[in-house]
Amino acid sequence: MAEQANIIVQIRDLQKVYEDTIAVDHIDLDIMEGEFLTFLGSSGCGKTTTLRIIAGFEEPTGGKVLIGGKDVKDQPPHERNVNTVFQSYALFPHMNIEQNVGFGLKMKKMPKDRIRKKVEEALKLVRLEGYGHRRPNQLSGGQKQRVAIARAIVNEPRVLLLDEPLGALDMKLRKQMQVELKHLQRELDITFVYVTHDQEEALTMSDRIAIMNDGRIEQIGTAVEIYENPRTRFVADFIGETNLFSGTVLSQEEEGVYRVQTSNFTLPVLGEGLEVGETVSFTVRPERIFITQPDQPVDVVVEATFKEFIYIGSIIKSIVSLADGKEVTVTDQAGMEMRFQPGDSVKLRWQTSQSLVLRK
Amino acid sequence: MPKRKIFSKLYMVLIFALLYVPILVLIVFSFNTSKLNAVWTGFTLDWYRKLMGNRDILRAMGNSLQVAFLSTALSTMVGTLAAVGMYRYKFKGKAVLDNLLYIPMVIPEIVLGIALLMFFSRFRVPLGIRTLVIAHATFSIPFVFITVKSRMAGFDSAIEEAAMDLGASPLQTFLHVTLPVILPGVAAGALLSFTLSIDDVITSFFVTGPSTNTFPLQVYSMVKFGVSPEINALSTVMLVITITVALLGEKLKKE
Amino acid sequence: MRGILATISPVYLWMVLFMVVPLGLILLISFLQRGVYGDVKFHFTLENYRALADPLYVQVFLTSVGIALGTTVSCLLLGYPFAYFVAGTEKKHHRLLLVLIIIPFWTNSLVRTYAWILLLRTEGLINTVLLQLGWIQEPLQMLYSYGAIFLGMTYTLFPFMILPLYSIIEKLDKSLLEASADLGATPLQTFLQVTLPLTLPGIVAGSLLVFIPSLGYFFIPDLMGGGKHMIIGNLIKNQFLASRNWPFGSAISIILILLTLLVVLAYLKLLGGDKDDMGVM
Repeated sequence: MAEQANIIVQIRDLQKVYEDTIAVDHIDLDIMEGEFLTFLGSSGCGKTTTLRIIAGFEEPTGGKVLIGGKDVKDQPPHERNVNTVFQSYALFPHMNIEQNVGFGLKMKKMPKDRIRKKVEEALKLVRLEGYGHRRPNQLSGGQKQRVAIARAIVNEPRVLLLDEPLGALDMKLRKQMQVELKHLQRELDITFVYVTHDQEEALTMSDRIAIMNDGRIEQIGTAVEIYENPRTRFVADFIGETNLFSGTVLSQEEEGVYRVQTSNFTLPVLGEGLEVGETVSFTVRPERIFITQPDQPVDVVVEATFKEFIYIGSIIKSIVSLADGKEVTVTDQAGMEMRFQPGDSVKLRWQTSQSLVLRK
Repeated sequence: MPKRKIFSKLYMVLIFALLYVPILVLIVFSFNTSKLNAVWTGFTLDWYRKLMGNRDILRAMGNSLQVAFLSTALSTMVGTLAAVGMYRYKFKGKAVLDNLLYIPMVIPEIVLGIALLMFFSRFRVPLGIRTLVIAHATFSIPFVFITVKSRMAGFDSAIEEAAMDLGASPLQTFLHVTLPVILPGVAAGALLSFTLSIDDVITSFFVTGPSTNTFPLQVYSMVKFGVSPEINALSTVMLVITITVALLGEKLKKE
Repeated sequence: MRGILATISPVYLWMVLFMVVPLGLILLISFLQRGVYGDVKFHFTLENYRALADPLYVQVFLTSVGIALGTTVSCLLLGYPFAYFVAGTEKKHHRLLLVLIIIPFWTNSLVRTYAWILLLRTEGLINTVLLQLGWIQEPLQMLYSYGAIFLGMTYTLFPFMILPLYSIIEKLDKSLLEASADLGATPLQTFLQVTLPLTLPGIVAGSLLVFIPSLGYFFIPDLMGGGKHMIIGNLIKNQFLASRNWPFGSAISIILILLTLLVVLAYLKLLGGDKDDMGVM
């Protein structure tokens, strides 16, 4: 997708209003050919509604969707060259696996022997050869999910829509399917538009992530961009764990660096176009804060009081409090000695480049 | 607490006995040689043979079956479509329709009977098979509707979306996906409709014509003249028909 | 839109044409006059409703409601413990027991009434047996009384009470009863404080399904009451078939519909009942 990709889906000023709630609030988005794009957000943020509008199951209240440059306003779902993998799998209970997978081709009136061949290929792709004559209720959750995927991709859609497809699977299976899906997408080279509320899933699989909140896209970018460079408070809070501070801008130190006064200390932060006297919030990720002396030089040193350790397997979380009682979380690799006692005075250190001012 | 258990068992046996003994007595005496229906004198099939030779009864049976088949076909079609439509769409007047469909189930049957009688006479529809079919379909539609609707409650609407997503038109979706999935419900509704029709006394009593007796109405007019083993035999035949059909329906509903 | 039209319009048309219009017709005719030859004259009058105040008819209404209430109560008293015990049996028996409950439900009400006539009449089985045993010298006159009507109604409508009761008691979460006992309630207290309130919807649904039809089952008083006793159903039937007073019969029907609606609305609104419970099947 990196090289000069074409736009396959254009979403323009899309809106969906139910009786008293705004599900989708003026969304604009371009989806590139061959990319793996994920809508990430908590339930009710509008991600599924957006997906269903692209599929044609819901009509937008305003705005439009173009697929391959064509407005699909008057195309019912069965006339759109997109296919959906449903959260509930939605396998036809009265048909066997072969009939399920072949359904779309049958609707297109493809000759029977060609259908059989294509179904076989699709089942092979999802590693379910030989399952054709089983019924959906004879399959495990993971197998059903594979059938659902095979049933969609056998139609060679230009865009595959996936609505929390792994939501019903257990943790281990889900991790395994994430990798499989990613491979499948590369192999098939079709556009995947994926909906999930699981940030880890989104970070693992996606080329780009669109973070949704209250019907709007808060931020769109690669996993790294979103994690390292969250632009809004919501995104910073939603993705990973973070420490949020607020303060007043004292002065501009240099291009893109401002001095900010919080209730506990003054320090330099990264920001753009801030005014002196403005109240801002900024974030520092827990793993970018050091309690002990780091190897590299730091810009910020803050006094704090150690409160407690929380051991969570691969990492250790330390909770410290600032002068006014505000708690700050610091994470470190497990294995670090737990040498502080509650009540010890400690110093927090980080680099200016790790504290970012957020919008709103 | 074994004492309580014994009591509850006894109670259940007693109630079941009260429910079944009268019917069993009726069936047993339909095979009795005596005309008196009180003392067992010997086994015979005479009364059934007599039924077979009675043209009125055979005609009533034919009428009943004809009415049952036609009204079942009508009510199953209309009721199923309604359940699917109500499940799938939102529209103005949906609540009104929903309430309309409950009316025939809650008002006393006699009211529907006389209402239709007046309706037919006002619009000069001659009473007979046709009016019976209409009346039976009217009280059956809500039952088919409810049966199919309860079947649809477990229906994942995503499979309809999936079908359309895979290129099926709304009609194809209905024929290839919706209908096969709800078919057990539809069949159960049809069987229910059939038993309601073949058993109906009150509504039929009003909308039937002078020359078109149905099975239950035949029983009614015979009972008014007194007790006879022939009625026992006729009743037994009816019981066998309805219970068979009803059990079949129950079985389908459980699937 | 086409989908809505294809699925909904048949049922709409059917129900309007064959139910709403006929019921509207009853309402209309109930305000019209009876013609000399039993026809209907288009002349507005309230006379049909006024006539209902006649003590004779009031008596029929009261008898009717009395029989209906009595039937409902006896069905409930007999049926509740029965449904409770059946629901309390081992799970593996439930299916069979349920089928046994449903079968009488499906047997023709007329046939079931007839079955009791066989038993109760003077030359019937009960009298024959009692006479042979020497317990009685004269056959008992059991048919053609209020008692017989009452028995016939109870027997005929009993399954309508059992089904909703059974289905709600069966769904009752047993851990609630255990919790109640755990918190110190005696079995009786548990029953009154937990079981009864939770199964109330079934009680009400069952009561409606017994009460309402019992107002109209004219053939039970006809056959078991020997035509001596009348309920609303008989009164209506007579107006249409015997005395051919359609406007008056319509007025009685309207009162019957109002009575029914009142009971149903009370059920739906006051008790928060579910319409779907009315359709037992």
